[in-house]
Amino acid sequence: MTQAPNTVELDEHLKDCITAVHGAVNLAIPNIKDDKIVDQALQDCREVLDLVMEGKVSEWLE
Amino acid sequence: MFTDKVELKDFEKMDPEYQDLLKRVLAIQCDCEIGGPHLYIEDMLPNAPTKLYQLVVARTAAEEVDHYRKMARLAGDIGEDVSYVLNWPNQKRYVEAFRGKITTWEDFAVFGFLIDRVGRFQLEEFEDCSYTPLAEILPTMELEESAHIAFGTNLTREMAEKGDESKERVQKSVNYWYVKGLDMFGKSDSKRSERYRYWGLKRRTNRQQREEYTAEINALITDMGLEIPDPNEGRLYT
Repeated sequence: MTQAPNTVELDEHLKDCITAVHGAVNLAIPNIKDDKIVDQALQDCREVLDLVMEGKVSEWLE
Repeated sequence: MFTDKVELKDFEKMDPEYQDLLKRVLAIQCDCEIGGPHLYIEDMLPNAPTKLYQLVVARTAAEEVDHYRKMARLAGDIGEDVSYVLNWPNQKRYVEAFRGKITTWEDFAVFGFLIDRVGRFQLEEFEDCSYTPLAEILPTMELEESAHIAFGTNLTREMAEKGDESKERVQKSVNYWYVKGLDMFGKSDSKRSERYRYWGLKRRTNRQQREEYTAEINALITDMGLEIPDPNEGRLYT
């Protein structure tokens, strides 16, 4: 079966994005009263998720 | 009825109708998975009422992106590139429920309560389906979807229990999403749905799924002290 182009690369890129968001959330939730940690985590999540939502696949794969 | 199990290596040997149906359902599933975050990230990530809830929004979105990733990988492995749905404008989505925008916390809650629940029904269709790689990715996805549903259901209940204006606002959201959820099951007499069942890619008819879903949510809505909306108002499919 011929795989669609960039299937593996896109899969790996998205895995990295998902891992980054989970990492930020998992760090922030136990420290929910620490504004500095939580604000940084939310900013990191926002940046990663905004990139995913933009969906500029060709740029991701460069 | 087709009862064999199909692995990736067997896919090319399958009937063209099977190949087309599997590619189609994976593309639609991908669109629905990524369509959710597209509805709520922009407004709910910064504006959920507490920072803890903002983190929950981020985690929920990441899990939906992961569901997209898993389905997109299956599609890619059979030669179907579904990356085009990643940046589709909401108005272009396959499913009408994903064509708007979520701008209130009530809508985010009810989306989890009602629309993620449709997502669970759709995933259940693939349990033990004829395409083994699809059946194999389901357990984690279903667990995560169930958590999204539970979160949305609990929030909806809390808002309803507060009464007064809170209850009115959440009732308005229920009214909006209720018919969208019912429509997500498609036409009751869909010929394509029959072909999915013939090939072992789905288990229930659209009508069966919608009836089971309706019974489940009506009981919950009543239990929350909310009104069951008119199931026919504004419907696209029956």
